[in-house]
Amino acid sequence: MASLGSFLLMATFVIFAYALAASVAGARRGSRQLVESGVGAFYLAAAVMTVASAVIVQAFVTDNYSIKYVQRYSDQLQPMFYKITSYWGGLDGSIMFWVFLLSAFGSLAVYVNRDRHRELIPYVVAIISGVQLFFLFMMIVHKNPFETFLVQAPKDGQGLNPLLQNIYMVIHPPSLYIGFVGMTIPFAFGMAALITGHTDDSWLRAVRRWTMVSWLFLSLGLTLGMIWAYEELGWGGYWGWDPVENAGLLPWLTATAFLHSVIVQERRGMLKVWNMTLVITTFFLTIFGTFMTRSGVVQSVHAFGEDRALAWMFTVFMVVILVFSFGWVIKRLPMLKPRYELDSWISREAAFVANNWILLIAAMLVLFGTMFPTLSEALTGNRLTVGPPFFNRWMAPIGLIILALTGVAPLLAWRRSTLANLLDSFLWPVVFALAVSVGFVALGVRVWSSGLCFALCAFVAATIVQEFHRGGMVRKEATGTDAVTATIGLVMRERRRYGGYIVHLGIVLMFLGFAGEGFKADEQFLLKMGQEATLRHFKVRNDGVQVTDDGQKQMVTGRVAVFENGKRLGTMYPARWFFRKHEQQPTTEVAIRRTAGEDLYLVMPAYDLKDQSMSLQVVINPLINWIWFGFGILVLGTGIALLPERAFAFALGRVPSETATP
Amino acid sequence: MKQKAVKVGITSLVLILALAGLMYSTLSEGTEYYKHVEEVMVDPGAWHGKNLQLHGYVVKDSILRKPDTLEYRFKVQNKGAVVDATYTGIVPDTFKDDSEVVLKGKLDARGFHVDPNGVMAKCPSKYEAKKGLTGPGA
Amino acid sequence: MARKRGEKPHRGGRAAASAPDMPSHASGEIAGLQAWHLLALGTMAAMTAGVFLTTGTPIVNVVSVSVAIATTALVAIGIYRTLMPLVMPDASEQTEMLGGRTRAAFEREKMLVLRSIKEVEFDRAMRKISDADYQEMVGRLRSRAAGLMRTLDGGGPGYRELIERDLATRLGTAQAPASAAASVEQPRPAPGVCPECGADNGTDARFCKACGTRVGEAS
Repeated sequence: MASLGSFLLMATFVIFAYALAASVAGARRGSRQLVESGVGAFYLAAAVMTVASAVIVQAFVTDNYSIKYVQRYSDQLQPMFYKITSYWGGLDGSIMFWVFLLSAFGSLAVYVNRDRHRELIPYVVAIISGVQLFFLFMMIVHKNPFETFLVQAPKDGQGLNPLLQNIYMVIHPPSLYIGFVGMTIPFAFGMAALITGHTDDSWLRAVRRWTMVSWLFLSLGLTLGMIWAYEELGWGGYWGWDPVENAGLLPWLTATAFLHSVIVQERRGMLKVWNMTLVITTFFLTIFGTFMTRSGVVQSVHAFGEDRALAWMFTVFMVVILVFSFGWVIKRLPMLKPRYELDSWISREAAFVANNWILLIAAMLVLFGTMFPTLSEALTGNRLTVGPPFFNRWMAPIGLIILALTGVAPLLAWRRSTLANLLDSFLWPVVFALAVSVGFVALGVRVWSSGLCFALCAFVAATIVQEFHRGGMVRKEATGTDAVTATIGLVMRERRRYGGYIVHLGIVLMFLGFAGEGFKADEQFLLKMGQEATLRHFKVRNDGVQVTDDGQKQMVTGRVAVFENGKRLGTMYPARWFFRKHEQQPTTEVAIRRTAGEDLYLVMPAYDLKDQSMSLQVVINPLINWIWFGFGILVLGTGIALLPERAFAFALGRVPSETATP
Repeated sequence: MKQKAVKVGITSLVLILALAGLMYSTLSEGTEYYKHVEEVMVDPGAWHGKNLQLHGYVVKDSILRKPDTLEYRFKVQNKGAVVDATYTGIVPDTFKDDSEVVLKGKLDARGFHVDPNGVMAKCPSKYEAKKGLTGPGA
Repeated sequence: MARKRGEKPHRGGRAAASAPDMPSHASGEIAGLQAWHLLALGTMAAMTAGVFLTTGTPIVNVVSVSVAIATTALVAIGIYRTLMPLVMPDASEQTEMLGGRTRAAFEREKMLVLRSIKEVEFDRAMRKISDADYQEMVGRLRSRAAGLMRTLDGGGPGYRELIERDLATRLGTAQAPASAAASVEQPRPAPGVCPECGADNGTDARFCKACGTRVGEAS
């Protein structure tokens, strides 16, 4: 089976090479046959990768420990579910998973667009095939997941780290991979547009949904990572500016910029160079992120370990990407001339340009901070690190600016806003925000960054409500229906816009949650049996430590009685779990009490069974649940924006005929 | 066309200056030097007062904890060089004899003082795929 | 985002991997349809047989066999799609072309342009765009839409010449070539101006940004 797997990988390499050659030759010679054959080969490669995936999963399921990868990440006792999902648990398998996903997505993208964008297809196939060739090459010569033991295989596997045996760890990597891999599609279409000279906005339309879906999965992956860090790692926070966290954030930032910037190109034929740059940069950052986390270039909690050969392969690939992509941009610069120039700084176009800049700068800052240790070591010999204080100090103001833009940009007019426009649009939201600020100051809120954040959240929320209200009124006038039907019809008719507004609302709520960090409380106590400790309005008491066992693991559970303002709330059970064969790596089971206003978060890192004492970390995280809730709203909004053209046709109904109808 | 080139040039200049300024301000505070124990102990005086991330291994049987407190005293070594360390607070699960650790803190004449939540310890067994260092406030 | 090509292994082994994803293809619609229908049926039959043969063995075997058959079918389709175009050259040209682009491309662009018009009108109703700018934007979009609809309804650029010529031959042979030539002979358009819809594209354009016909180089 292992040799079948290796053979399949090599076959896939050959097939993609053919697909690339046939497509390019076919495009240049105008030979439809060659192009069709190339596309066929592209589909074939996807089929073969499916077989290869089936082979590795089968190896896991049948406990085939002659394959090193299987032996490393599985064992006899592991639940079936985790055996299957170990496919992407380690480095080699995750690369194969990447190739598999990209082949599937690529096939889908090519199939859907084969008639609408026929001229782009050959180069889309060629670009994606090129990327695949790199990853397959890396697997075949260096990190083959099907590699076997040369000597007698061990009888049992090492097993998946128990820290990874939970639902988040199953969903989080695939979600991120889908996000990363998905960004290759817009890149391929963008490059195809450049190469064929079709630099109008047709390629943008082709990739809009791909970009949105990939962005959604990136957001999901990042948020799941946050939830996992919060619930499983047990340090009381959700984001540590760890290199792998940053690796996921970087393409998210530029993808967000891209999603917005394309609107300007579609509407006014401007920012073409920006859009090309953003799509290339987003793809580049997905590769760079992969490189960062796999080559050991930046040591981190997540790093897969030092690997020079890998680092070199990635570096060459990234240089090729940059030279090739930006080379074509430069070559096609005359075709990327904007139809109009910027007329006024107080216009929606200008707001979008500002948005692009600020997100790009944010990405550069995060990149700088993440690569700083490597850079400093290379330049000065001393390895210097920057920690969360650096990132927080710079990213907080940037986040606030982005939040402000979220409110300002939709209100500005195209081309130029007059004073009348501005007054009309901004009056109520600004008044509301000021009122909220005054309220908070009166309540005694003194943390300036959080206070400003609250004010901006109020401002943006007000702008969104105003947009819904005004849009509803416009539609009500046009259709003659009641306000509710009009608003629903409005959202369904202007899905991208209003879905986007709902996403913004989700972002506002997430920022509300982030702002809560300014009021966090965190203390550590050593409690004897029956001893109490107080943190703000909470009191905790050690009611003992118990030991139980369920066959797979031994559980040491602390019983902590919790009081709020003197009133008894209940008992919480922070714990430590010791999995069989992994007793050296116990997991920390955090106890969390969640309300809309705050979380009470308890960790029991150490204990003494003899005298029933425990060390207890108590953290109060105000407003943190608004992050998760806000994310849910974000998903809802994205879903609405993604709905296909014909959905809800029945609700779109009657609009008088002076407006254009499809 | 010339106006465009000038605009691009000015933008690039501004960005480069900003980056340089950022680099300077970051270097002057807040950064930590990542050093191994033996690198520091060659000339301990030179490192006094600097923010360090000290890498080494916990010396066997050296972990002492004052009873009924969270105060720890232990020794860290690497390639033969040893340094005394003190810390008050919670230690991660993986902190034990022979653990590979990275300690955030400052060195002075009496030894290395670890910052709150500054103990990061790796699993004593082989490097895991996704979980290497563990520690509160990673 | 609709169906996904390629399939992850799943329990039961029913749903034939090949079924709805396969585009009809190859020599003539009917023949192509039959071929992949047969393949789908064959695959399902083989998988059913496989399930029966492996009854009594652990479920892993059942699933493995089903998955193996399904993925083999996928690979077979892939090989077919790769080799067929090379072997049967004229098989694939089924899509309707108008000028340099497919009908599907024009249809889609028309729909998107009309949607843009609606969005611009909404922006104007929300007071996000001045009347002057609105007129300019909508005017441009409307002429583009008109050009597209003309292309779609007329069957392609150059249709006018065809009609003129046909008309002329029906009316009288002698006059035909001259009048056809005369009616078709319009003043040579300025470089960059689209002969079809009149939009100004700039000197280095290869395709008209309003209606999509080739400009600049020989059409």
